[in-house]
Amino acid sequence: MIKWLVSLLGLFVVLVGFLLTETIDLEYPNHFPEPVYDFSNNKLTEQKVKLGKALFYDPILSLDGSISCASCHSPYNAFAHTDHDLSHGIDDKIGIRNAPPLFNLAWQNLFMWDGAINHLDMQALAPITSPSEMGDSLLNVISKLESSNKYRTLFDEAFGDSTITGQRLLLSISQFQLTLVSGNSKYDKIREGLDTFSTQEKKGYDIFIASCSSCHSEPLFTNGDFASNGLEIDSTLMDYGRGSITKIKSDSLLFKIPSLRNLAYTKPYMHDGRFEKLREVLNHYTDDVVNYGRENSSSRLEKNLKLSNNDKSDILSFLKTLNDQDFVFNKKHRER
Amino acid sequence: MKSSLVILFTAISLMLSAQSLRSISVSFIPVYKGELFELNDEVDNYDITISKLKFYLSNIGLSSSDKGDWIEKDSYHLLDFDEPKGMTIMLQIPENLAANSLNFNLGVDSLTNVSGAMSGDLDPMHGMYWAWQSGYINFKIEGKSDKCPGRKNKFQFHLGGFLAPFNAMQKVSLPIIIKDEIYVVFDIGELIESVDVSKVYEIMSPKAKAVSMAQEAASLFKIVE
Repeated sequence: MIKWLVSLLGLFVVLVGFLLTETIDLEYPNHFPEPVYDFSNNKLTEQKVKLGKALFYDPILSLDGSISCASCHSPYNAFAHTDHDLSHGIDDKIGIRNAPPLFNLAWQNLFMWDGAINHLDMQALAPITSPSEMGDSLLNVISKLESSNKYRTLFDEAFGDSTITGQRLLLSISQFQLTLVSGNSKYDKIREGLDTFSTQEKKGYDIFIASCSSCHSEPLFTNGDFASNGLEIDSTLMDYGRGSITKIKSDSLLFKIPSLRNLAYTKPYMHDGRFEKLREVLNHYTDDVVNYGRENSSSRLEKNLKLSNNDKSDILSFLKTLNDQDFVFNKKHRER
Repeated sequence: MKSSLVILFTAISLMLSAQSLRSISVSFIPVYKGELFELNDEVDNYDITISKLKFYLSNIGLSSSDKGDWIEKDSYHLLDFDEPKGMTIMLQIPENLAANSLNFNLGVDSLTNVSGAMSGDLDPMHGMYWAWQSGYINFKIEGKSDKCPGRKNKFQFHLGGFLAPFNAMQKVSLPIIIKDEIYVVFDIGELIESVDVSKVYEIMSPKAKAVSMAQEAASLFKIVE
């Protein structure tokens, strides 16, 4: 009989625990589609987001304690790394790609410029263990966290006990990153009927829709696909992008189509950060597209785009409406 | 609130359904050309040392041709030759289950490979997950041999991959008679010889060679009569 009472009491404690950790809903604009991330397996809670944020900003994730996620994904740069063409790691090691900005990740299926990672939860493993980034192992990171009172408490608050596992660590980092939603630019306000384009922005928008939006589609300004962008391969990097993951010949030199939101904060541009200015990017698309013999391929940039200098100025004017100052200056996403 | 009710309901139904189950063990015994061996010791009569042997077994089941299948729930097991008891799986099966074959997958199914961070044996902290390219390592064997031209004579075979045409997971089905303790041997020596470490000594990404080596590995499991 006493055994039964004890187990009933145990159940009661579990019930109360569940009721105390309220799940929160991801907030995003009405004109966004449904997220693709499956929240049912990782329900957002304030405690888990808080833990994920602490981990994101903590260099404890790197082997020598020198590099955090935020080192290359700074909140002030829409979580990109302004002025660095390639990512940095421990011991001043340099990676082979430009650290992309982090926002609207709940709408992404594949991660990294080559799509090597198939789930947001698994993404953090790559930088944590890459020798040219954080250079550590998940097991070692866990043992460092286990000897920290701060993290035992944070894990306890988030998961109901202080056990630290790889899964819990990864799910928490996902949670913080999922809350990085950028949807309050001038463009978004226009979509909601709260603002209007200037004449030049509208001209730029129309040209953009005709020339660029098949890849950079609204409202996220990427269709999530991979494409050749006509860049000549950098002979110092020899990066074949998607092809080196899928081993399919026609995927060679395809890279993920990035969102065009927040470009003002995220220079330099392209997967290897080769362009400093947006006008250089547009000039590349009109003058220097290399197609490496691709014809009738799925790639839409087989030859140079036809845009006048005025067209380019109009497009650049439109692109400025995608900068989301509220997102970049949102204190909620900062370390403290 | 909903989840609390589900837990309550599950707890009650578990108490009620604690009916006649039988516990059996299935132990996996790696051998090298028919002989038992230890990790990190040179195998007698062979110029080879195995330093790591870990693999996933999933979807373990028992079946008979006329009575259908029993499949273990949430059946994912990481077997590690370096852990005491790391090679034995306990199964709770219905008391009167009649079956004449033991079935399992060598590796992890593709759905699990695309479903994010998992717990328990599937937790990526066990070192059986590729960080740079999503996917589980189904089967890992490492060691050294003087025949091997790699760095420090080391060979490393990390077999995995879940996307066609390089899906490395293999189905295995073995004829058995159900008893309390079932023993399965598999001959690592045959596997190593099948690749010839003087030529192939590193497989660490999804590719055709990983699939063929996984097929070879799957063919080596044999029930000890």
